Amino acid sequence: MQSTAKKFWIDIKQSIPAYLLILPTIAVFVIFLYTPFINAIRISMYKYNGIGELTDYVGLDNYLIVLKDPKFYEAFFNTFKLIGADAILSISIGFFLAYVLYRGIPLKRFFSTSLFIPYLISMVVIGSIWRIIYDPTIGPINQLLQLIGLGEWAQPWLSQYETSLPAIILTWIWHTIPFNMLIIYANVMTMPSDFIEAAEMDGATSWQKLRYIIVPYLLPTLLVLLLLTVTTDLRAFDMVWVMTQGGPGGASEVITSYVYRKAFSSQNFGVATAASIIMMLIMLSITLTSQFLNRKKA
Amino acid sequence: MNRKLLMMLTAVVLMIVLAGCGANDKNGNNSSEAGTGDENVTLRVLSTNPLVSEESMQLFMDQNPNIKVTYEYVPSSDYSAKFAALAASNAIPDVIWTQAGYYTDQIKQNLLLDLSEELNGQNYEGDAVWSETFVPALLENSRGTVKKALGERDSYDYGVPFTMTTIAVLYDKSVYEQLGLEEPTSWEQFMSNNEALKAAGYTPLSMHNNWIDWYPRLFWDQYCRADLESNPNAFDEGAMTFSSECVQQGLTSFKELWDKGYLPENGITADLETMQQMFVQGKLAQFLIAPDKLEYIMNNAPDNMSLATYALPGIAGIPSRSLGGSSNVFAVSASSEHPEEAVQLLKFLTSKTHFTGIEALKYSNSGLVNLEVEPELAQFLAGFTNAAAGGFSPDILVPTNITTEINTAFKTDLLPRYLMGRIDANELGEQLQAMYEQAK
Repeated sequence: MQSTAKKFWIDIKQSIPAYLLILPTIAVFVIFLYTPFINAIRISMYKYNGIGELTDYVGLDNYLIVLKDPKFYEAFFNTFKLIGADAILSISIGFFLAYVLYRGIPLKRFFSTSLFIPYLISMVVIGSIWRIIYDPTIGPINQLLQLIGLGEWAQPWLSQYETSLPAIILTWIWHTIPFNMLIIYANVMTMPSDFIEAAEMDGATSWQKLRYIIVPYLLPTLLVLLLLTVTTDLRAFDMVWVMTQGGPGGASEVITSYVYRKAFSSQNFGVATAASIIMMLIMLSITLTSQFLNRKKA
Repeated sequence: MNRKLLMMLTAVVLMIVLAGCGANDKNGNNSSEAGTGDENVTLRVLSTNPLVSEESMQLFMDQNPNIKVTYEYVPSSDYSAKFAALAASNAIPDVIWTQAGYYTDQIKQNLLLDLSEELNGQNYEGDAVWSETFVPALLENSRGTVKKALGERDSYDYGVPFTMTTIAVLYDKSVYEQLGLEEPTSWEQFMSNNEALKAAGYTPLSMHNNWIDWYPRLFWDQYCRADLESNPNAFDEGAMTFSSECVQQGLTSFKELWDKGYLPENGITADLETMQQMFVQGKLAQFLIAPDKLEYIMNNAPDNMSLATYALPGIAGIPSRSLGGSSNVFAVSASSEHPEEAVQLLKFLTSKTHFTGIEALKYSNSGLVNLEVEPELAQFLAGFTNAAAGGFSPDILVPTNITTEINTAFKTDLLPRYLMGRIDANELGEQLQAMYEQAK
């Protein structure tokens, strides 16, 4: 018994340098992550406009306000429309482009580099550029439509209830395709060549190779990309804010812009914090579910 | 030996990390630098008004060498977020720009310094009483805003109006001449001009996300003026609501402008800069604008544009009043550590010295007595002068801007939905009323 305790203290003593080394990192986490998080939980239980002390305790009322607010659900569904479209279109197009590059095309290196450029541009810059592109008066889309005789299709893309969210989703996908393409391309290039060679010897067609070899090989990568898409898109904010600020009338509101508006435009920090904690719980449950499913599958 | 080396390395890393955590004083200065005996004072200024610029601050610093000014500009659309973040971190700058809804919220939360005594003291030049240098109606307009929102109090002077903000319609005379139009003197003529401009392929009138409420507020000043002048507390007492006929009439008239296609298709989400670009590109025919936003247009308008201004006629036929008045207010933070110097800066901002020393201020109406404008410029600014001559609609008339929350909901949610036909005027009125009741 005594020797176990002694061994324990020796272990602790020997580990002190290691603990000291990770101390700065832990300090950073405690100061910039855990403390604000605990504080956020506290704020979410107060009616608070961001100024002065927390005095007006309201319990879970802020959570109820959020859960009863139709605008929260609108923002929630808009976010999931974005995620759905991004997951289906961006990963599919990314897959297609990666496959085309894998099969080999002339100027392959040029295309693989130039196709990646949209991902390197900051979201704010993309939002600003596309806002001009969509502008009904001075934007090139409408001008082009008029030039080719389709003037009646010209729209105020970002200022209409029906078109503002699709316009943002399109821009968003334009930005995310290169990332998906690159990851898929990098993975497909690591596939042992004998898989394909064996299939070719058995007389497999291109479609059969794609369907029975490449897709199954890339499935884990596609699942990871799906998870990344979900967690990234749940945090979508900058592009949406630059392009429409969630408007017109909430048509393109996403959860993050809803939180921002509640906090900084309406100065209702309690409700905003409650909404952000709900959002965090959603993200957490998605991540845990996907991990659970992955483990089960493994 | 290795372990000792590791321990030493760890200690060094910790020292470096912790050195960065040195305590800062309120102004963001490192504590080790504070109290060095240097008597220089540093003031922080937050402004959304581009007329108050680095150049203004430099002029002030040149004249007051013991005061250093750190200036920060935020676009008006980001002011609310910026101020909330500063207030939440107890870092409100010494001198701040503010406006109606924000201003009264800030007074309510005891964030602003009472300036009554200072206003009875000398002005910046020291040749007059400070309060007497303002156009009397302007100061009254500013005090009226506080009284309206916060009721009777000992003081209504928590900020001073900077410039007499007026709004007028800016247009290109050559377009008018080309289409045979004249400056409208009645609402009917104004609407007929809009129709002609639309038929000629122009977007007749400006509108953008941050000023989306200007038209309804102007219409309410016409339709509700008599009722609210006879009983200024009509909303408080419940004698008037957002569903009252005059309020609904203002909303309906605004929707009519939208439905007729006189406002830009992208007006709900576009920003001020987009409207400015449309105007200088000759796509937008008439720009309802305040003088402090003229500079971009004046600097970028093509040579063939011949600019002029006129006051917007009243929709109900009664004499029109302008929005604005004291809508740009500068105030001193109650937590300023240098209130004397901050007040000195406020006096400078509202002084002849400032208005005559800075080129960018030449298009503005100073709101000061005895400050003359060059005759040529006066002719161009005639629209603003005429608009001001009609007087000002109180900042808070129909109280859509009585609190930040109502103002935000009205401008970013309810009004856009109403224009797009997602809700009708009744629903809009009911939702505003519910928010107003809750805020009371």
